[in-house]
Amino acid sequence: MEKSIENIWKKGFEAEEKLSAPVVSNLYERKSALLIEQIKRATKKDNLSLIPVGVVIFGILVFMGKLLLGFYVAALITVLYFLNKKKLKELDTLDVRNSTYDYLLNYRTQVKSIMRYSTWLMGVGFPLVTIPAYWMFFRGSKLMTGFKQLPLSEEILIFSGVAALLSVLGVLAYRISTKIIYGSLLAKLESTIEDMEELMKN
Amino acid sequence: MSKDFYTQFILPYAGIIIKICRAYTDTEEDFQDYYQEVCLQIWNSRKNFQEKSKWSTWVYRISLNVCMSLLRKRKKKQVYSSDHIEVQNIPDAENSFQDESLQLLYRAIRQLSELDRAIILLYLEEKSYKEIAEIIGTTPNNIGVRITRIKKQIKKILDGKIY
Repeated sequence: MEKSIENIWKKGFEAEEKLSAPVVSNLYERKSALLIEQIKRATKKDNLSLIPVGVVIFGILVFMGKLLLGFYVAALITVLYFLNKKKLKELDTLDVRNSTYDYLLNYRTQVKSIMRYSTWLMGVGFPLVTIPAYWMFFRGSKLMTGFKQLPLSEEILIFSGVAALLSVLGVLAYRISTKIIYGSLLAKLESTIEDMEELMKN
Repeated sequence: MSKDFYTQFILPYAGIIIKICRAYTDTEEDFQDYYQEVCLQIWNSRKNFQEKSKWSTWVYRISLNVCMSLLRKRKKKQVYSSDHIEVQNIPDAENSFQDESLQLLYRAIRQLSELDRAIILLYLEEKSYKEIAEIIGTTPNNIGVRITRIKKQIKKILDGKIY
């Protein structure tokens, strides 16, 4: 006679020894490794995306007849790409022999330091290198002629205003893009560290 | 996760967690991964537990949700990787159980859809239609209809292999 599935289930598990629970160990190790891998992939992709952006901007500027400006912007983006690459390489130098918790803490510190550096770059470096680009873009135009006829104090005022505006825009753009690209990953990193800290308390 | 929490709140339900994880995995390695992930999610979601339902219901719900979502992710990955490289044959979880009939029943359950697996597991664990409906998020009537259909499907898969 054919057995019912209910019977097979009941009888089968009555004699089953393999229902002993597996050992729960290194719970966070694999999760952390996966998370770090995801962050690494995202940073690499983010930095690589600068290359097509640079090529497109260069193409547009050349098409507009602003060859010098095109080269200038392309050079800036290339420098930024290599600076980022160098910074990201520093993340790989963290000692993997540390415990998972220590590794994550060091990783978080390093990521925060890169973010501080990038904020500084966007807030100070970006306006400084962009102003010459504006000069190249508007060179010979009516706007530039008008600007040059202004008294020096007004020129300085406008120059400072534009620089401050660019600084705010740069920092804002960096923060928004970081939130979009890395927001959920960094939140995961924080919550994993918090979980591990709670685990250590118990 | 504290040892106390594991001993007090997870270990008493380890049996059902194992049964659920086995139904969603093909290899011992996957089984271990799923089990750990379920434990981790139970720990992570402990603060969201409201005593409206029993703790066991909460454990069932989390175990099933985690297993279904891991399986879905795995399937997606396989579809993606099959576009690029040849997909490896997934070995069946041979010898996961000593009882041969149980082994065959599990093999049949693994051929069901994600949701049907969840329903039949809860049914075999003698949960009432009302409780299954509460865990799955549907009506007891719907569960009744589905169980009849699933049982027929399992019988068809087994097709006289178990006597």
